[in-house]
Amino acid sequence: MTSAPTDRELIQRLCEGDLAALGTLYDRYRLLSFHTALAITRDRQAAEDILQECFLKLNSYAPRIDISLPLEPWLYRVTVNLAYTWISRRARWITSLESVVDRLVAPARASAEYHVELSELQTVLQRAIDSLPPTQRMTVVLYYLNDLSLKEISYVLDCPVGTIKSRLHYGREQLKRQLQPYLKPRLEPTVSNGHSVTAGEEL
Amino acid sequence: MRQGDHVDNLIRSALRTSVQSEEPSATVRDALLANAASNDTLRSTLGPSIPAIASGLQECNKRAAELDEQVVAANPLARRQLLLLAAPLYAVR
Repeated sequence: MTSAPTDRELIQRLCEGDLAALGTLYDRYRLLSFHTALAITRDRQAAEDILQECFLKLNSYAPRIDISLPLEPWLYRVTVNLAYTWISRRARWITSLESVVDRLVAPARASAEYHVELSELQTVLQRAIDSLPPTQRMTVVLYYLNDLSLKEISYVLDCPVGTIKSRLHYGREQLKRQLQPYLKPRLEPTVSNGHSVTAGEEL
Repeated sequence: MRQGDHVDNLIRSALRTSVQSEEPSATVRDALLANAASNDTLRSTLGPSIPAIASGLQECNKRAAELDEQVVAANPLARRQLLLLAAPLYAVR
């Protein structure tokens, strides 16, 4: 039984023009790139375009990739850069319709019932993430979705760790503010079947 | 559970839930490999021949310039003929 080829071997084969190696790398890392792009752009078509572009760049730049380093940070970096370009282009021609809608529905949210379904909370949170400035959104996605450390994010986004910390702090604070109408009531004790239960425990 | 942890868990959960069941369509892989193959072919076909084409064009330009000089030098009337052709126009005025 032969073991699966390492990334290093696959990149070397790619440098020699072996496109099957590109297929194997795609199969191995497609979700890493696709999920990151999708979480940042919230657009399936854009995420697929970014995914394809990312692996085309891997094919083109294979001879320049340092094979002594892990490939994942490089893929994150390219994916995030492509996603950022997509967001910036989109922002030029789309007015922030979502933020207008958010403002219109805000009073309804404030009067929402205490027991909000988790799925609804997730929808609210997703909208809140979408409304973050691109640099904060990318940091939040890399930290919470991809579980990257601050140091790894600083490499991917090419920023000092301090900047990443600050972006994460402000992004998180903004998300927390938008979640406040839902969180506060849930943290108050409610009586259910004679037991005092906090919503935090339910989750 | 602290509220901070609760918020962190919610953010994590919302992000993961929103993408975890998503898969890129199969056509992306096919399109990627087709594009990569086409780029590679273009690179291997044009790459080595571009310097040759460029030097061929430079050679061609050089020869054309030399030929022009030879024609002008061999035909001293060439410019005078133009003057003669233009003369009637001035005469009319």
